[in-house]
Amino acid sequence: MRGHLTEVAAPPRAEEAQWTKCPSCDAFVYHKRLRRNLGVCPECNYHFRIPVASRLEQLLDEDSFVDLSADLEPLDVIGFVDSKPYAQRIADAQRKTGRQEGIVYGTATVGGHPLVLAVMDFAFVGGSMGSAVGEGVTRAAELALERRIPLLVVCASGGARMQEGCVSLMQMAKTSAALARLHEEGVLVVCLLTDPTFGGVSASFATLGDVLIAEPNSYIGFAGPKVIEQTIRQQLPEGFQTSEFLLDHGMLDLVEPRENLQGVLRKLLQLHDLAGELPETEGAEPLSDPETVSRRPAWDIVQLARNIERPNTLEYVGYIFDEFVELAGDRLFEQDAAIVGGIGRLGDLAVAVIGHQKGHTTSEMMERNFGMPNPEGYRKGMRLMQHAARFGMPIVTFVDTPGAYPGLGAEARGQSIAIAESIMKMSRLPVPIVTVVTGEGGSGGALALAVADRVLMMENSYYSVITPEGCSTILFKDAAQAPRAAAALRITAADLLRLGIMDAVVPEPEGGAHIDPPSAAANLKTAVVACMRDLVRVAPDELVEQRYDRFRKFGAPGRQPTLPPIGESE
Amino acid sequence: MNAGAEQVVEEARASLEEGDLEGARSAYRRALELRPDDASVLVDFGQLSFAAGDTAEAISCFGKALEREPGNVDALRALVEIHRREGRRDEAFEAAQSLAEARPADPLAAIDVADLALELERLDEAEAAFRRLLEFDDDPEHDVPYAQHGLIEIEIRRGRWRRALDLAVDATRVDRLGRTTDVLAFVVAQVFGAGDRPTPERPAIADALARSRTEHRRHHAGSLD
Repeated sequence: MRGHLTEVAAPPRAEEAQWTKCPSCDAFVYHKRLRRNLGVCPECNYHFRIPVASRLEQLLDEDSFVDLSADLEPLDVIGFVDSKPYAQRIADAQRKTGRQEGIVYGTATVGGHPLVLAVMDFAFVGGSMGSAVGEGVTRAAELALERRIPLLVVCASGGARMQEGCVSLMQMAKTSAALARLHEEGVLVVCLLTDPTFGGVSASFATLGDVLIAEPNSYIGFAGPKVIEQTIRQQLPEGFQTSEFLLDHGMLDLVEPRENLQGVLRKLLQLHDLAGELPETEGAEPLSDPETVSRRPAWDIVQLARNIERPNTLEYVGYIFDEFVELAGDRLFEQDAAIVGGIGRLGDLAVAVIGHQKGHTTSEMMERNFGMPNPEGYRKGMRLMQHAARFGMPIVTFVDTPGAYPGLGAEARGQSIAIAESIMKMSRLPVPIVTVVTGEGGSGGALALAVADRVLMMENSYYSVITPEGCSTILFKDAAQAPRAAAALRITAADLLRLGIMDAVVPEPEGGAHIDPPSAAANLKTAVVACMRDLVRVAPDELVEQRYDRFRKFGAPGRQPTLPPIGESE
Repeated sequence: MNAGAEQVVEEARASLEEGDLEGARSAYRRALELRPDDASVLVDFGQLSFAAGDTAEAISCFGKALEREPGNVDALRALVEIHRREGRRDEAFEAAQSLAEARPADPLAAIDVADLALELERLDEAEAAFRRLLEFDDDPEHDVPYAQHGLIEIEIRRGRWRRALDLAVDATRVDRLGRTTDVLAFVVAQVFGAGDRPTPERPAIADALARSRTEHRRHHAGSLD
């Protein structure tokens, strides 16, 4: 059955008002203006709750929606009665909304990309999840699995529907199990969380998507804020349980204004539907002979690697990738700005990108914690790596960190465990991985993003087990001996190429990458694409085996190259 | 209506849709000269005047619109708001009552009638309005029994503590946020005397009950469904 948007819209009322009062700024807003503005107050950007028909109209290609939910019927399984029988309450809701139940599902396209979608209707008994809502989400998931096309779920709910007792509780298990099958089979699930999303819905399918997007200032949580306030007898902080709060706490990938949602969705669908050719490149070829790498004292290279003007990960991403969607959050504790990641397009190939992120000014550096990740950053990285593995996307990582953050909280939340797990997980990912050390390669905090099939270094970067200053203090008993320690540690690109730690070195413009970032990025792109061209041809099992061997040889007798003492090599 | 008037109104509405409020106001002024009896033009011009801070002009426009179209929802809702903001509760109440008559199933209109009647100490009318809200706005997904809270406030003001107690007991049963707990404690203390635990003060109770009504009003105002 082909559904038209007007058919699912509530019937117009003769006495329909022309003006609406914004509950946020108290302005009266002309209805047509509000509609034109996608239901967002033009005065204060307050996002009104909008009807399902408007949501479909805003998100989907015109006339593409095919409604499959006509036979979804609510069940009165326990004969519940409060101030009125449940059956009567449902009949009232049906009359009010013109809909059988609190969900619509079907197929559609966004930017020409097919998908299955399910949209909840908050106007229907508070968007509560009873058997029919659970059934709608589950059928949508099963259809997405059958057709192997992405699933989009638009959530708005107060939680499980009390009037269906434990049967409504079981919808949490039913829908979660349905999404688990999509997860296992590598079918993309995007959840759009709108105001409000609470209780049994937020604690099941709504937060199980591969990508979680929320509208600004939407209230999202498990227990309602007032319940929490009553329980703990404390006033909750401003903005508690808003989408921005959740983003800061690592629970969401994106918070996007309504006007951007269709574009972001289109981009995500496109990026998860790409497996084409790598682009042609114009940069200088990477260097694989140590003798061709420019000779600079190690300490000078350390200074260049730390230069505050040096291009950082997001800048390289901008130069190298044709499109990029940044995804945030570890879904556990906090958004860590010291590690960034997302999905980018390299020619016609979708690639997951993860990297340390610094800044160029003091305030940017502080915001990014000087590129020193907390465990949350590594956990975000692992989440994105697993995402890449699920969708068969190659991974590019950019390493530029003085080291993992040595803090109290970082230790309490398992910094060692996060780094160890990241190293272990990378070693087994069944997709090609290319790592580039672009600045500082500070010890375990760097290696946690660098267990790759090909490891490259920018010419003026360094990679070290400890900072030269740290080594100098511990072994030479004098911090002033850092230049000597830098040389002794063999941390430069040429030495690491000789040791087999690096596979190639990316040449930099005269004076360093910061002198001419576009040229540096062009050289880097050439190196990454060349590596990828080799790796995408290798079968996943073989990739994992070769990666094991790559790291197995380090320190193995007879396989590990050695360097002569400094005096002899100079 | 002549073609010229039609064109000016369209121009005015287009400016309004585009968010060009000054342009819209100027076009509406011209439209009003051509169509002084058109209620929808009067309402639009009134809203723009209100937004521009010219409340006298706005009230005049809404009044004229209501003379021509007595149940005009936008004019009535705006009048409720303007009179409320300017502290003219009687006028606000009158407009709210007309609005509730024009839109009998509109929770916002009924909430305004109930709230304003309460503010005016017109307790019988407030009670009737809250009872009516109980009938048609009884979605169990409402976390707080705000209409019962209104009725409790009325009985407290009347000093009918037994009735307040019955209502508070009922409200406590359906209150998912526990907002009625302190209210019940306060009413119980009035009926049975203070116990050994601290009793909430009357101002705090009045604030809590008012807050539940305000939050509920915002809940209804924030949805375009």
